[in-house]
Amino acid sequence: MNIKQMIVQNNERRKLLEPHNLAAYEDALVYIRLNGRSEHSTESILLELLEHLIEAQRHGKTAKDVFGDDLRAYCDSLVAAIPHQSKLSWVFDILRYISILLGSLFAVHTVFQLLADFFPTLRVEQISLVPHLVIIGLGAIEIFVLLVAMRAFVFGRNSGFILAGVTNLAAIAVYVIATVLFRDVWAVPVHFWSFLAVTLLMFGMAHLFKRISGRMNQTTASF
Amino acid sequence: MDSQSQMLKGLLEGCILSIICEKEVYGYELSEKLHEAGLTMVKEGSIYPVLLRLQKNGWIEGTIKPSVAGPDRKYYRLTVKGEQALQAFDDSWEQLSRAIAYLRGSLR
Repeated sequence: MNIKQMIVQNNERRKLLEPHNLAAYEDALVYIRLNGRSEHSTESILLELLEHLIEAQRHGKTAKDVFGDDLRAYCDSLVAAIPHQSKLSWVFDILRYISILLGSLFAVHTVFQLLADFFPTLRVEQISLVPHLVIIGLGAIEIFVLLVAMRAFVFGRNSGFILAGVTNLAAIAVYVIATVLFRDVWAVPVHFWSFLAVTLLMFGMAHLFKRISGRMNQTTASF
Repeated sequence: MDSQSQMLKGLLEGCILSIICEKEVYGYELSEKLHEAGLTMVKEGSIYPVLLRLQKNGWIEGTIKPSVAGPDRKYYRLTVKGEQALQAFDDSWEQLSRAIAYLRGSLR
């Protein structure tokens, strides 16, 4: 089974759980999925846990009987045992993320170029590449903070989102400052068609990287 | 964690290997067998981190098979490496239990 099939099956089989068991299982599901380990192994063990819980439920047992009183501690012990993603597939995931980010930025530039035909005040002659490189690093930090915030939120702490919000504002500030400060450094002339081409290229590459990374996880899986 | 569960953690791997050596089992079946054997203090779910570690070591392998009741089940089987690991576990358990029996006998 590939990852997509396992997720579909999980969604389907989950309907068999009673409300209190479902609530506990879904907390565990979200928390375990946000771990950054091998996606294939993660989905496989989640499906196994689900089938176990369904069978336990049939024998009159609850999620507490299966996972113990401390669900978070149980999830942590499970995550620690899930294999890491292969290093190479990490590289492709990061390349994919960079492509999407740059693709989105260039999409905005492209739209502005189009609008500039009607609203001449929007016209710019050149843009600097520096803020675009800066935002790749900032975006990575932002994603990391959000991940931590979401994991904490599963078991009832939402203070992480305040941190995520502050990080987000700081990232925007740094981006704006970089735009002003490096206006003439590594500047490239703005042209509608070349920007459109870059946008399409970036999204095309993102799609390609996704497929490569997905295939790698498939073949390195333990079964 | 009390002393019993501390001790149990190390032994659980050996117990699970012994069961899988007998016959291929899936998760729920495995937890029932542990329970039947008297290991009632083992929470059912705690077999899964152990199963993941045993797979990572290459001691067991899982295969997904459809069951008569409907759902797909992942059955575990011992590898050659796993048989060696179980042998090593048996040997050290033998040595340990003999030592404990000797100490208790001589101290009383």
